[in-house]
Formats: sequence, C-alpha cells, structure tokens
Amino acid sequence: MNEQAWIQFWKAVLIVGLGSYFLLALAIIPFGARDILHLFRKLDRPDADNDELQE
Amino acid sequence: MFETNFTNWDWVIVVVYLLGTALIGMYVNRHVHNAGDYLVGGRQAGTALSIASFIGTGLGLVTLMYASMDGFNKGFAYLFVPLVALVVTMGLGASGFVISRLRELKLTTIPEFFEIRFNRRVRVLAGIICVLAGVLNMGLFPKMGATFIAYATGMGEPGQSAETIVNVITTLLIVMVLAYTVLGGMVAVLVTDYIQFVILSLGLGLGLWMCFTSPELGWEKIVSTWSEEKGVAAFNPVHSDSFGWTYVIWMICLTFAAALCWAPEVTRALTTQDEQTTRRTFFLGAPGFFARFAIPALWGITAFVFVRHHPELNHYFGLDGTENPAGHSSQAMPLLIGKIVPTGLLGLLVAGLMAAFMSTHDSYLLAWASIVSQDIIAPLKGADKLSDKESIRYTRVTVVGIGAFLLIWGIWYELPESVWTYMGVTGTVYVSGSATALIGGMYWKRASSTGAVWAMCGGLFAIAGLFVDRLTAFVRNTAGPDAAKAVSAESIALVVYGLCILLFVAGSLLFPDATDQNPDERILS
Repeated sequence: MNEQAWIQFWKAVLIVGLGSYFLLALAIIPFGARDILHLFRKLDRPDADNDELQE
Repeated sequence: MFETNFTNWDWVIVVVYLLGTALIGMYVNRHVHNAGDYLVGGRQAGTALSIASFIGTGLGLVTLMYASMDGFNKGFAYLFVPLVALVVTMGLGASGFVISRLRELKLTTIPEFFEIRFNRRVRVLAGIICVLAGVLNMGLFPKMGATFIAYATGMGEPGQSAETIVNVITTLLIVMVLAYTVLGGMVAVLVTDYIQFVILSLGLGLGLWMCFTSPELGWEKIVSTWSEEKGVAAFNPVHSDSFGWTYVIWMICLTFAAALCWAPEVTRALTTQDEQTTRRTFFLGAPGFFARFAIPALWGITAFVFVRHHPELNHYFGLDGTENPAGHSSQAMPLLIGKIVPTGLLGLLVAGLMAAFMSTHDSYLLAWASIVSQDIIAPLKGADKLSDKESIRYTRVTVVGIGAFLLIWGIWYELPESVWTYMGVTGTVYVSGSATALIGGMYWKRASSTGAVWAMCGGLFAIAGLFVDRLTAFVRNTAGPDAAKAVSAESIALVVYGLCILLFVAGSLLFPDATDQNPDERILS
C-alpha cells in the first residue's frame, strides 16, 4: 500500500475503533452502576452461594 | 520550557478525587463475607461492570506511557498494536476459545487449572513463574507514573528536585492502593475500576479532542508532519524502517497469549456471573482494548508534532539530528497534555490518569497475591484449600510485600532504554509457556504434565531478551555482523514461543501421564 492508502486505512480504523469505544462507554455508565447495586445485594443476601468466613 | 497549565486548583481536584475513590474502596469492604467475595467478587459481576473493570484494569497509566512513547517514536505505524488487540479480544469473545471453559471450571486463579488438568507440581511451577514475571513486569509502573506526574504538572524542569517530590507522591498513591486492595479485595477493585472507567473515558476523550482541535495541531497537520519527517515508515508497521514483520508477529503472539493467561486481565473471565457474561465481556470490551493503546499512541503522535514545531524543545527530544536521549520520549506526552489542556480540565484529566495508575495497581496486586496464596502457599502446605481466613490473610500479607517491593524497585530503579521491550519480555517469560500448556491441556488429550513443565521452563529463555545488547555484541564478535542483525528482543521472543510448543509436544509424547490420572471431564469435554 502507498502512503495515502495507509493514511486512509488508519483514519478508518480510528473512526471505527474509537467510535465503538465511546459508544460502549455511554452504555456502560448507567448499566455498570446498576450492576454494582445488584452485586451488593447479591453479596449481602443470606442465602447467597457463599458461606461465612471459615476458620 | 517545561511549565504547564497545572495549578493549585488542579491539585485540589486530584486530591479530592483520589481520596474519595480510596474511601469508597474501603467502604465496600462491608460487603465482603468470605474468600470468594474477596478474591473474585463472589462471581457476581454483571456484563457492564465486568467490561468496565476489564478495561479499567488494562488501561493503566503505564500503558498510556509506553504506548505514547511508541507513538512518539514510530508514528501511526504503532496503531497496528491496538488493531491486533481489538481483533484478538473480539475473536476470543465470539468463539469462547479457552475463556468459556475457564469460567465453567469456577477457578480462582489460572494456575489452579494446571492442577486440575495435570498435577500440583505444575500448578506450583506456573504460580512461581507467573508471580516472578508479573511482579518484575509491574516493577516499572511507579517510575512511569512518576514521570507522567512530573511532566504533566510542570514539576519536570531539569535540575530541580522534582523526582524526589514525585517519588513521595507515588509512594502515597501506592499506600492508598494497598489500603483499599488489602481491605476490600475484588469487590473494591470492581467498584473503583468502574469509577475510574467513567473518569478515564471522559479524560481520554477530552485529551483527544484537545489534540485535534488545538490551533497549532489538528489531523491534517499531524499527518503531514509525520509524512515529511518519516515518509511511509510512519504509517506502515512492516516497513524496514518501522517495526518490521518479526515485531508484528511477536505482538500477535504476545497479545493472544496474554489475553488467555495474563492473570490480572483474564481474572475478569473468572469473576463474571456465568460463561455467557465472560464471552460478552471479551467481545464488547474489545473496543476498550483498542482505545487503551490507540488514544495514548495518538497523544504520542501529536506530541511529536508539537515538539517538532517548538524549536526550543527539539534538542531535548533529539529532533534536531542529535540522538534522542534515553527516557526523554516518555516525557513528551505528559508535557503535551500539560500544555494544551486548560487549568481545571487538566486537574480532572490528571486525576483520571492517576486513577488509571491506581486501577492497574489494585488489580495486579490482587492477581499476583491471589496466586501466591492459592497456587504456591496452599499446595506447599499440603492443603487442598486454605480456609477463607487463611486465604485472605496470606493474600493481604503478599499484597503488602509486593507493595514494599514496588516502592524499592519501582521508584529507585532506573528506567531501561526501551520500556516496552522490558514489558514484552517479562510478559513472554510467563505467557509463552503457560498459554501453550493452557491451550494444549484444554484441547489435546495426550497433553501431559511433563510437557506442561517443559513448556513453562522453556518460557524462561525469554529472559535473554532483557540482555539483547550483550547478546548482539557476543554474536557480532563470534559470528559476524550479519548474524548479529538477526538478534533482537522480538526474534528471541518468537523463538521462545516456538520452543515452548516444541517442548510441550515432545514432553507430552515422550512422557505421557499415567492412565489413572484422567483429567477432569469438564476440561476436555
């Protein structure tokens, strides 16, 4: 590939890659917060699949 | 020459943010009730939280530093590394190759797999090599963090006592990370990783926006400057004046092997709710692995253009025809960020990047410490499993021990000339042999414990890559300059990958395990 083709290639890769990342970030911010609340609830549930600290 | 827009207000933002994060990390300790909660967050993390933590772990300040260094030195050609990371991570998520079975087995650490598949001896060996390589790999993190802080905050004026000040700050950061990792374990890691993911995404986007909208920079100027300076080698990674084919192939092997068994990152495969969440985490998190390399590389690429158009900086960074002094390229990106991002926003960005520093440290500390307690101490004590209290106690003591090592080694050890070579080589020591034994153990019925031990020992030869200058000189003296040209860190690493596969196959065929040592059916099913 010549130089111009490489420049266009990297431009396209950056638009797709970084665009996907920032879209992902927008989705993760609310859903991640929800997951944290679920995690705390599950960890504190008495019937969770975890035993209390063993000696 | 090195003054930046960082003011006292920015320090206030940074301190408030970091203290707040550490307090939250310690507060979530109340949700930890047993070793499963402490080490793998009770395996209850949902997809979004797993992805945030997956990306937060990989997006360390040291990653930003070495990616920006390579961007500064090699230009757009370095973008092949994030492209490989994107394709490999997405491919693993789509196929479930290795990672699905790891989750199905409900492991706590990767070496645990080797005991289930082979025997306890293989598990202990894997644990020792993993921790040795991992802690050495981590040894340079504080120094890189210190360099960033010094030059982004304007404390990096040569001749000042900047390094001492920065070392004190780095020490405080490590102490804070130790405190909430020791107290909160994986739950703290998951929660603080999430917070840091949010701040980092804002910070990365902001830094990138500033690079492309600054009046003296912008896409067209960046591309044309590189084109004039380096020609097609600035864009083509396999060009002879760029990385070359051997380096590119090494990166593909390293990325693939590390994604399967580099403990801090693959641990995310073990903490999810189920196997489907593990696959989704890898697949959907892949753009994060692209961004973690691509954005800092773009900062480094932009820093080159910035330095090039500021004559007073040309000599310091070796762009006036003199040789680029070792370590100076690591200072270009933080200097650029400090100069183009305005006060206030700079504080937020530095806080986000310091968060990246802490995020990587907590995950790495917990990953290596878990391996020491679960895969070295427990088997050597002859116990099938440590009690929860023992597990947590040994893990905490190890976290503190590694923290002490980091303070001594990381802060006072001089940076080598090529940080990425050091990172790649120390990583290869472990992942070359372990990935071979992991894949072979999972998909090849005739794989034996002898083959696994041989493969892991074969990986130790990668240490030769740390002494590549001496090796090159030796080969030049004994076999001539043409032979010496073939000696490089990447060629040594590639040979090691081949050697590990060869040793694994030979050991397995020559010394098969006894027929009564049938592996767990879940592994080979």
